[in-house]
Amino acid sequence: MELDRTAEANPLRAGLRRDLAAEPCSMVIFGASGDLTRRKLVPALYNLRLDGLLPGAGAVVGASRREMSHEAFAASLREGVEAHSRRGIDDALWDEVASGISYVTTENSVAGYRKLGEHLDRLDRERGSGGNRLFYVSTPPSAFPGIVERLGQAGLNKPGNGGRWARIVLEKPIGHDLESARELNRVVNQVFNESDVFRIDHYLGKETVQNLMVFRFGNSIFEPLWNQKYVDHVQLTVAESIGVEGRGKYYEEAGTTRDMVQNHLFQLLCLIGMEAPASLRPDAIRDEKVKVLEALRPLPLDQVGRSTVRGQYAEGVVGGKKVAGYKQEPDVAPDSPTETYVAMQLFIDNWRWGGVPFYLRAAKRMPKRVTEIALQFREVPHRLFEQSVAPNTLALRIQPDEGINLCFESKSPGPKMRVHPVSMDFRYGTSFGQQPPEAYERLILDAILGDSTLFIRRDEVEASWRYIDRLQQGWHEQGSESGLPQYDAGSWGPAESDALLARSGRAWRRP
Amino acid sequence: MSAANRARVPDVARIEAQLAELWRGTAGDGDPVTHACTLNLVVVCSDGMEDLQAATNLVARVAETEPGRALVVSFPEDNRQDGDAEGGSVDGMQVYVSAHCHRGADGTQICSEQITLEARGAGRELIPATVLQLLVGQLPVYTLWRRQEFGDDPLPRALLDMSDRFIANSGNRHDPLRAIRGLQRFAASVSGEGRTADISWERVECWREALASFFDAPTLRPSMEQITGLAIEASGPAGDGHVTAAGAYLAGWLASRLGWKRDQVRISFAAATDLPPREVASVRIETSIDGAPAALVARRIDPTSDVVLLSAETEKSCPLPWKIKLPARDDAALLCGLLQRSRKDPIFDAALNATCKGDTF
Repeated sequence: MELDRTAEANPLRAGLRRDLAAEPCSMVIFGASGDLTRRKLVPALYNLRLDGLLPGAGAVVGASRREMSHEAFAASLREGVEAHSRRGIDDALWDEVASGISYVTTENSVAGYRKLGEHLDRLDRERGSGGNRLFYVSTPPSAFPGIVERLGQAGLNKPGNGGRWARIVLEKPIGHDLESARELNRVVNQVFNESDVFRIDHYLGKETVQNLMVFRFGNSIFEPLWNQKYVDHVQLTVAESIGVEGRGKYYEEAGTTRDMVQNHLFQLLCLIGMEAPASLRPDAIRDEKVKVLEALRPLPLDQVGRSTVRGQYAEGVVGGKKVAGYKQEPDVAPDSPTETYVAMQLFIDNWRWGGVPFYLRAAKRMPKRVTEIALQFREVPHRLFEQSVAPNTLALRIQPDEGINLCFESKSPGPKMRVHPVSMDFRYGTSFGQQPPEAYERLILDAILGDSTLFIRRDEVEASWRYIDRLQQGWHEQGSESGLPQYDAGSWGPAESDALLARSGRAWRRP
Repeated sequence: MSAANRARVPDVARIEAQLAELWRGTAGDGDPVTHACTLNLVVVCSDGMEDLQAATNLVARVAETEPGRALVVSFPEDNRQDGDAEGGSVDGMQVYVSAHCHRGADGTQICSEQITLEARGAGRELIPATVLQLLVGQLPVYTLWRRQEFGDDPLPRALLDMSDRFIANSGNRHDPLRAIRGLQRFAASVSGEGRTADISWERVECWREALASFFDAPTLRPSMEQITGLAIEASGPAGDGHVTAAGAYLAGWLASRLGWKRDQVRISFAAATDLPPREVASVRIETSIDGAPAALVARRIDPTSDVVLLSAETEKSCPLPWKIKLPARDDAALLCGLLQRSRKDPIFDAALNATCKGDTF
């Protein structure tokens, strides 16, 4: 797909650091009164504008069922930027941004969306949006289909006068299971071409996640080791120290598996497990990612319990503070069967990874917030030294303290042949003294540019749900919903999880 | 025996040992120290100790975002008396090492190293060989030339030969256009295009961004082909005709990117007052929009502001005005910007050539 890189059309852009500056457009945020708009979306837009990556022309339109004036909406966004922007607010620039902010109360009717269309036409004339439209759907998932259908019925799935594109961005979760994901994708693709659909997983916007590709395919020394011949096993950890933070209602429906594994963890798994793409074209990369998901070994239903562990946090202490257990959180049933911890062993059945276990875990109320991928290499084939030597480990830290750590054995100084593990560290903050952009900045810019590389394609979504559905079915059939293992908030999870690895003589890392 | 042979030759092994000792010292208080090195930066100072201090401050700032090994070459005032040519106390090179440390975002202490070479008399001839021995292997080498002119001095050529990029700062010269022409001649005299750079070029990047953004909107793109006039207002230093380094580069860049022919576009420069030196106050582009005469104007909203208003003077419909914010960038930040770039910049080479060709102004 041809990208809207203005360097191709504007020769003055060539060679500029901001050669990806975007075309003017109107960005319509559905669910604009929600937290994501204030915390992430508008601070991202502001920082893009601050960096000159978004043009002065264009507009931001909040769309929600709640009544609100333009001024009140703009004021709430300013508060959001002041509180959550990675850089301070500049009054002159904010005034400029604010002059392009408006708010539309959307009725759930085609007529209501036609009014929105008239508003966008007016902005095209007055704000120079150029007829280009980006619809950002940040509502509860149940509202996705209605919004998409009404956009189509009101003709808003086509660019406005003089425009070149109309695109839609969908926040996760895309569906609740395979069937609902397929149905949502069907509705979306009836209205928008797949090339105009941008399914966000904000993990893919993180610099360190993007660096996985550079690390693997921009260096020749790692890739020869990146296979079953040298790798003993791989661990992927997404640990959060927070609980459900007032989102009990959502979490009761989702649980950690749907909330974290189906998207974030599986995306990391794809980037670690995929083959080198032939090019950096979005579909070349996504083709390779989907192959990983399709190669996941299906778990026999009666093996689901043996290969996975779920748990639920009980009260405990995190960050020096006593915190409630999951079942005591607001909007959570006292007998809730929802997991806040999940760990699993899975296999990618292909030539590269045959027989290598991948251990995934995601959880809330862990001792600390950390996302990490660790490859543990096989032991040396012959024990030459008296002491046992630890296998080499390569750990890729996604957040926080982004960086890469290689652990290897070294001789301790002295007359005796004593072996001691040492580590070699690369930290982003050390080698690159500049502050990386927020994930949403990159993703919003890419959506405006039409670059879908960091977004999830329909078949990726469905392949990941296919695997998750099977797990859910296995758990359901084994009746394990009742009596999930409990773990103390602030611990590394239930003992059953340690046993999952201990069976094969392995252990979880303590990141 | 040549003069260089008579000079004291620095003992590179001893310098490296001093560096090792320095690192042990910085880690001595139990606070973990990370020694980071991503590049070599050779800084060649103007004569006198004053510029050495300024260069050291610059290196410290640069190390915060681009950690590496800095080799600062200074030329202290020569205090020799007549007839003291044999007096070894001042003839030669003195070398000392130091570290620049700062706290990273995660609290880690991150340190870079600086090796200062003080060359006196015949010691100047030892500079290229000494620098070459002290470079960290397999890392890019950038040379920042802070001296006035290249002239017939063999040193810049020798340093260019071992550098990935050779960076000048024409904006600091009394006659920037003359300095730019000197840089162009120097660049043309060596093989391998794209190895020279100019901090003044990096300084105008934000203005290039601003001017380019006029034409991001598809409706204004045809106006790019119909430019008839360009007026740049900038603050000194400037030579004849108020041509500042920033003005010269902006005009050369537009001429090269848009393929202007001689006399196709009227170009004028004016001196801006109440503005810090080397800054641009406004750029006015005469063109047409939908067949009607128009002007696209980028102007600071006031001389001290870093906000630029982009506006159009036209009777036609136009998606302007809008504002952009110029980043606050001192010489250290500009240098970091150049260090982060890919090693070749063909857009700069074309702008440099257009600036000096005489077709432009």
